[in-house]
Parts: sequence; structure tokens; C-alpha cells
Amino acid sequence: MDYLKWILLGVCVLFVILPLLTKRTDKTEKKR
Amino acid sequence: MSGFGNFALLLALFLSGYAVVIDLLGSLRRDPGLIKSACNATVAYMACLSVAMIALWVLLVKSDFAVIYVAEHTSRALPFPYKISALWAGSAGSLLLWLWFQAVFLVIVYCKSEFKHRSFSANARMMANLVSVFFLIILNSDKNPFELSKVTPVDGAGLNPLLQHPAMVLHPPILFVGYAGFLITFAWAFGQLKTAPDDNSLPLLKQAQRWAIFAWLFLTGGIVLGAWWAYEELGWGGYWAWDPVENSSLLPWLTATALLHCFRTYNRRSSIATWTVLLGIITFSLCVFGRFLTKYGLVSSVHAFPNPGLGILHVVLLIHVWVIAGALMLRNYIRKKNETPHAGIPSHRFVILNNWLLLLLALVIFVGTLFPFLSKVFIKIIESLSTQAGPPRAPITLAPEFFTKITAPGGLLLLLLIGLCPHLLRRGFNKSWRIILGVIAFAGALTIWLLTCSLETVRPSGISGTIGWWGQWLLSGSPAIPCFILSGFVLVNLLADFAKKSPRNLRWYGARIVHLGVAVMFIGIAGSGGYAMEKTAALRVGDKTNIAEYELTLNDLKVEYGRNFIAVAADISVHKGDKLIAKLKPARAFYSASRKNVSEIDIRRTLAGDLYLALTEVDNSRKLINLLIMIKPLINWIWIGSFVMVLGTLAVLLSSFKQKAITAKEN
Repeated sequence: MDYLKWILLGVCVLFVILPLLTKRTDKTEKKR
Repeated sequence: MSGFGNFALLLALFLSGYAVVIDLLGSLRRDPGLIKSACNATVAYMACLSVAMIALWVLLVKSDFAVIYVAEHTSRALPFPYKISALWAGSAGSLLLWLWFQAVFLVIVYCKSEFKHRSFSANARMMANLVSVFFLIILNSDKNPFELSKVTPVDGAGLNPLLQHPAMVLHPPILFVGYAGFLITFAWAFGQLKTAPDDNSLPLLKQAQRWAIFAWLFLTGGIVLGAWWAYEELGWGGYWAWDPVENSSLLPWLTATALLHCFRTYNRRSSIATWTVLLGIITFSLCVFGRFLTKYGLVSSVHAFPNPGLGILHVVLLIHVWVIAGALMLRNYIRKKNETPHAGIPSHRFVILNNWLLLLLALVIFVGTLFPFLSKVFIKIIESLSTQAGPPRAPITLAPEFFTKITAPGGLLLLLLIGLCPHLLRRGFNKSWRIILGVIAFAGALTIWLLTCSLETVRPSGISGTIGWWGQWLLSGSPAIPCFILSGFVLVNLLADFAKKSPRNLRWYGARIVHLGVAVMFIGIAGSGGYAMEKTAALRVGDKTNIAEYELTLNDLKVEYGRNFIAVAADISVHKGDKLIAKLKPARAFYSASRKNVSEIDIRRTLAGDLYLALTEVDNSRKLINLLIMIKPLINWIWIGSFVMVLGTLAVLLSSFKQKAITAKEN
């Protein structure tokens, strides 16, 4: 079952962090 | 699987905690990236709870008795539907289900709001997630449904036989949908307090109103199903015992009813706005407090699972909520000090009167429910102050009759208000006050006359005696007669309203149908409470007994075998005069897994009333039974009235969605 835990953790962390990364890209694009 | 479920619960706790902090930061810094991240964390936490629910279901269906929760609430012989419903049979599982509903509703409402409401949604979501954090701490520590036992039993204890009933399969989830739905109005109230409301926030208000109607619909359905289950399954012939568990669902229902009326006449510049926000917070706080009251042994209840543990966290949560709400209200009050308040519309007066009445009823029930605890505290204080050691005093528990007598006048006043309002709204207060006063005076005089006739006490002389006599009248007089009069008054007024040609829509019909349902339900309550008959008879096979116009004969006793029980059923024929009108089979079942004896009642139902039979004791070897026989006049009108109320609420809800679709089309 351990691999299921890692999949759940990975998906959740990615999903939560993604908007923060996207936002940074927006700022970079604006600066350009 | 239990480890995976446990991990999902822990991850849900971290995600909801993260969402609270990031929402706070995001709304302070007005950072859309942070707000979106918090929004995603809420979605992820909902997904984790879904995973935990599925994991628990798998364990329950597989009968994995290594998990304590599974061993305590299922057994190998338990039928499949009850294995599924065992998820909410215990304290931990029911909390998980409540949390899951909360998370789903939160994602539906506050994770897809439009850009212009982003800040409002962040504030609302933050408070809702704060509630989830507290609940998840409890779930991850002392109420963990995935906790493993040291020794794996061969078979489980099985589901409590009393819970093996279709109504009990549906009752908890329906009730939790109601509780969780009020989280949305609670969150909206905080969004409203934090963000200054303007005309742009109208769609959010409408959304909160829709959720309040939705939650009220489910809470009403849940309470009625619970009452029906108590009547059908517990074998004592009643449907409402004013038990703390029952009261804890009635309290939010009363304040939510007031909330719905506030939403209907909402104006952001009038005092109704403050009422709406306050009632939104009070209603959900009562849902949380009800859970604390019953699950943590503050007061004992027949169907509670007392276990102190981390229950105090409920109180800590409520303190947090009210400190934040108080601070925000104070800030808003200082800001708006110089604004001229809106005068309001005439119906505001009735809504506020209705609010006070419902709040007063809720307060009386609240204090009555807490009375054993309060008396315990009071006794301890007295004992610590007293120098002489005396015998220990037991805490005072209030009898169900106390609640009935003390809430009856409030209920009757509410009925009067329901009857008056259509009249007042139709003609206006100035044109109709003479008629209203006349009706009140007539109903009052008739009620007092009828009650005085039925009172056996001789009226004593002197002022104190007169006051005492009136006090006794108020408490001891049967509320059935005034209840019939006022219900009739409501029905006549509603019919007059239907007969009048006026512009109307689905909402108009829905609201009146709900009130019609309330009047019908009150007729059932008054009839079954005021004119019930009861008898206990010891019968051998062949014996006969009489109650009212019925003659009951015990023909035989038969043993029946079920999948997880053995029952002894009595074959009883009921005659009215010479005519056989029913054959009833009340039974007493023994469930081997839980080693419990349960009475399976049988009822002859008519609209005029029920003939209710329950076996209290059976001796199959001597062919002897102890039979509880009850006549409950008009009781089915309670269920009919409740059904009408639910139908009316559905119509109101449908009308709200219709209105939403029209507004969306226009925009």
C-alpha cells in the first residue's frame, strides 16, 4: 500500500503548488 | 488498507491547515496565486477524505476485524446494506461522513466563485477550513476510525440491532447533509463580516440563501426520519423524548428557521442584515455544540457515545469562532456608527418577532438540555461552600414533560404568527388590526374557557394564590385544544390566501405549502399527545384484552429465524365489535452477535390514529407475553405534515434555482 500513499501525496502536493508556480511565470512574463 | 486510510486522514489535516494559513495570507496580500493554491488545497483535502471514506468502506465490507471500528460495528452475518451504513454507526465514522459532506459543499461553493468574489470566497473558505482543522484533529487522534486492535477477534460485535432499520440507514447522512449545508451559510456570514457587503455581493447572498434552504430541507427530513425511527423501532410508543441527542438537532433547526425568514426579507442596510449574519453563525455553532454535548458525555443520553477525549476541542473551536465574529462585528459597528439605518419594510417587524420567539424557544431547550450539567456544577459549588457534610446530591434531570409544557406556549405563539402573517401581508397592519385583535381575543377566550373547564383544581383566593393558579394552568393545561384552534386558524388563513387573486410564483406556493405542513403537523402532535391511551397486558395464548373500542386476542406464538437474529412473534387478531379489522404480529428478536433483545413492534395505521403493539416480555415455553398496547390518535398527520413541509421546501428551492437561471440568462 506504500506506493498508493506516495501517489496520493505527490498528486496533492503538485496540485497545491501548481498555482504558485504558474503565478511566478505570469510575473516573469509581465516583466518581459 | 487501514494504513492508507490513516495516511489520507493525516494528509487531509495538513491540507486543510495549509488552506487556512494560505487563504489568510492570500486575502491579506490580495495575491491570486496564494488564493488559488488554498482553493486547490481544499479540493485536495476533499479528495483525501473521499479516499479515507472508500478505504473505510472496503474494510467494513471485507470484515477486517483487525480494525477496532469494523469489529465494533459489523459482524460476518450482517446484511450488506448495513455493512455500508455501519460507516456512520459510530462516532468516528459519523464525524468522517459529516466532514466529507462539508468538504464537498465547500468545494462546490467557494472553490469556483468568480474573480470579483475571490476575496470574499477566501475569507469564507478560511473559516470553513478552520472548522475542518479542528474536526480533523479529533478524527486523527482519539476518534480515528482506522485504529488497529492488538488482538484480531474472530467475529465482530455487529451493528446495534436498533440501528438495523431503513430509517436509521438514511437518518444520519440526511442529518449530516443538513449540518454540513449550514457550514456554507456560516462561511458566508464570515465573508460578509470581513468584506464590506455591496450590491455586487447579491449573488453570494442568493447563493447562501439557496444553501440555507437546502440545509434546512435536509435537517427537517433528518429530524422527521429520526422521530419516525424512534416511533417504529424503540418500542415505547413515542417519537420524541426530548433526549439531548434529539434536542441537539432541534436547536439548529429552530435558529435555521429564523435564518430562512431573515434571508427572505434581507436588506443589507437594515437590522435584518445583522440578524442574518448572527443566525448563520449561531446555527452552525449549535450544530457543533450539539455534537460536543452528546458525544462527549457532558449530559448522558440513551443514544450517545460518551467519551471525553479531545472533545473539549469543540469548545475551543466555538471560542475561536465567537472571538473572531465578535471582533469583526465590533469593527463593522464602529465603521457604520454614523450611517443612517434603513427603516425596513413592515414585514421586518414580524420577521424580528419570529426570530425572538424561535431564539427564546431554542434558549429554553438549550438550558433544559444542559440542566443536568448546570445542576451538577451548582451542587458542587453549594457543597464546597457548605461546612456541614451531608448525603451526596444527584444532578437534576428534567423530565420530557417539562420540555413539552415549557415549549408548548412558544409553539402556539408561532402558530398564531403563521396564521396572522398572510392576513397582515394581504391587507396591511393598519387596515386589519381590529380583525387581528378580534381573532386573538376570540381564540384566547375560547382557549382559556376550554382549559378552565378541563382544570380540576379549585381556584384559591388572594393575589399570590391567583398568580399560582394561572402559573399552574399554564404548565398543567393540555395544549391540545388551543393547538387545534390555532392550526384551524392557520389553515383558514392560508386557504383565504390561496383563494385571493394575486401575483404568485413557485416560491409563493412553496412558502405557503410549508406553513400548511406545519399546521397539519401540529394537529398530529396535539392529537397524539393530548388523547393517547396506553395499557399493558399479560396474556397467555387464547387470552383477550380490551382497549377503547378494540378487542385483542392472542392466537399463537411463533419462532422465526432471520439471517442474524431469532425472533418470537405473537399472532394477535384485533376485533372492532364482531368484525375482524387487523391481524398484527409484534415480535421480540434476539441478535446473537451483539447479544441484544429488541422489540419489533406492529401497528394498525389509519388517518384517525394508530393501534400500536409492542412485546415487552416473552416466555415462549409458557406461551406468555407482556404486551404494550397504545392508541395514538392523529399521529400519522405528523408524518403527512412533515412530508408536505418537505414538498413545500423543495418548491422554494426549485424556484431559487429557476431565478438563478433567469438572472444568469439576463447577464
